[in-house]
Amino acid sequence: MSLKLERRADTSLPAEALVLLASILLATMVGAVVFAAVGAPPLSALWVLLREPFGSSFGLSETILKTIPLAFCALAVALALKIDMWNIGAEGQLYMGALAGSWLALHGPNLPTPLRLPAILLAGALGGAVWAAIPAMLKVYGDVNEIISTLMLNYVAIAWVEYFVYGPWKGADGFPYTATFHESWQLPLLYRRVHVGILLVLALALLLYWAERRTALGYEVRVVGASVRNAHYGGIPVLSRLLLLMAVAGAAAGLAGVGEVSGVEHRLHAGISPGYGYTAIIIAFLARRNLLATVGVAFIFAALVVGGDGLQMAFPQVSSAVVQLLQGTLLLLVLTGGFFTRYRLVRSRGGR
Amino acid sequence: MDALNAAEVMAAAAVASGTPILLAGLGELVAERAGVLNLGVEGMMLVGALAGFAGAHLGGNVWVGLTCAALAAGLFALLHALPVVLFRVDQVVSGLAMVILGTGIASGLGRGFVGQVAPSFSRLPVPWLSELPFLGPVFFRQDMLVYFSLLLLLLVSLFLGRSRPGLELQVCGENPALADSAGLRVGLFRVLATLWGGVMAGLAGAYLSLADTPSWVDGMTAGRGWIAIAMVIFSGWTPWRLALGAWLFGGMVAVQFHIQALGFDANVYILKMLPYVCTLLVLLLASRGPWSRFMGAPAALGRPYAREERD
Repeated sequence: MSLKLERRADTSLPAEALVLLASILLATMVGAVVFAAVGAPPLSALWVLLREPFGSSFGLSETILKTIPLAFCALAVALALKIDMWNIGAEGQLYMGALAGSWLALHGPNLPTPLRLPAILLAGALGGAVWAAIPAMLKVYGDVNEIISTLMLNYVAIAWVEYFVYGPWKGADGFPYTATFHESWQLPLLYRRVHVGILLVLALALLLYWAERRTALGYEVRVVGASVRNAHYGGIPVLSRLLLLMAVAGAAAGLAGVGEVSGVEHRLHAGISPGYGYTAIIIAFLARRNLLATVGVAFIFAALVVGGDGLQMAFPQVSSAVVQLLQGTLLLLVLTGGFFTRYRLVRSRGGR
Repeated sequence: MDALNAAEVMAAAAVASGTPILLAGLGELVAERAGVLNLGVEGMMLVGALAGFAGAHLGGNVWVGLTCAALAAGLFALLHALPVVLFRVDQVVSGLAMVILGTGIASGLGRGFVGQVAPSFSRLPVPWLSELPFLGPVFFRQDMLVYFSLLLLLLVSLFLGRSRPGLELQVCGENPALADSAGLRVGLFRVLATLWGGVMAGLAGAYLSLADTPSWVDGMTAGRGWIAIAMVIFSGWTPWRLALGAWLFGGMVAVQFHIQALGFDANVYILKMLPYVCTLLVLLLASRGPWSRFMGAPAALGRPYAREERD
């Protein structure tokens, strides 16, 4: 008698939920071990991780605030995944969106006040779209692997922002950030520090979710995602759809950048994103590429980010990078767990 | 400084800066030849860089550091190898998870080592060989790790091209079902190849923290792991062209530090973009230019092998 693997006919929802739950539990245990290793009491550290993002109205507002860039970026990753493109470049697209928005607010034409906010959002979306179109074109016309090209362009985008904030746009006090935006270029606040970006990202997610299911373009994208060959047969212009989708994805990440400079920081500096674009990859994957679920998972990850910041404050020996470690562990566990929802172990007698 | 002298200085700097790319690339190349795509190189390099620095700092010896780097990054690579081989996890996502996880581990555990000092590798000219015209100053007035990378380049090239296990490993990456029916243990080859990839990424990281810029700085790999993957693609999965690509990239990094010394006025942030932009151009060239006919990714790269599902 021996054990052998057998592919399950279909995956069941309870099995997947169980895997997710077990993964979260295991990741929490890994976290506890890490906390103990660096000398922080594990239970109270975990409590901080939970209390910080949800335990007060301020904490909750910070969690919602961090949901905005994470959800925008995760949409950028999830959209590209619809046609099997790995957009690892949301980080760079975010920076380019922030750069374009900052240019408009600080050095652009003198627009009438009511036009300013739509204009800065548009500029940011365009900045991100252009930056995402580069790897799309490299892929379409040069067959260059998009994982590497989107990633390389992250470093280039951040270097551009550094070029401007350490150079031509350096503030009057000599520090490496730009002057503060005039109030007319700042996104209005809804509650505490939460700006209107949260409504925008919800609206965008709903719009894209709807477009995916109810428009001809969305249908075409779904066909391309299912099979490029079938799409060719069906007469769908695959390459132009791919370019378009990447540009829209870049625009979403660009909006994340504008949200940060126009809604939170009110000026540009080189550290506006602590890696939102990378966390977004995990979010998009855990959300199973579902555009609406993306926002929900982004909220949970925002809570982790806020919890991590609180953790670093409560226990100086703990770095906020512990959160990254937890995220990575969780992803790896969910991935491995996915195996058990797809396969089962069966006993087989020899001689078959 | 006459022209030849300047060329020698630049070429020597290019080889030194290209060494981490070469080391990590030699690891990735073997893993990919076995059929495992390891996108986690960047994370493994960071783990290696920190472990190497910490080992050298605490052990007071560069070799202790180097051993720690190889062990830590190798163990870390098993976190990719085992799920990918045993549980047929998507190699792209698992690799990305390794990057995020490695960055987090290195950043979290490295806090105490920022600003510390540790012993570092110093230049050690090879007697006789270092006197060769041009080749001497470029290749043989470097540190031990550069010589080590040259030796490994030779060994990997011989292993893949001339040895039986090397050929068997490539069958696992080209046609795992065939390898399986020939009695080769595909999973074992793949796990070992990925482990080797991790060890090499660890050494590459240690080169950064113990020789290139002896210190620990958060995120010090600055995308070099990704560039190593790009160079493996550029190389068409052949070691010697990988070395060429790595040194070419090293040249771009070296230009950053020497261009101002040579009297050119260039913005430091624009120069910083150069290696990344050049990597993209090189990839474009590799897929489109005259080089492209040499291309050939291993046929089963990135595909899990499942005996019971074979056609």
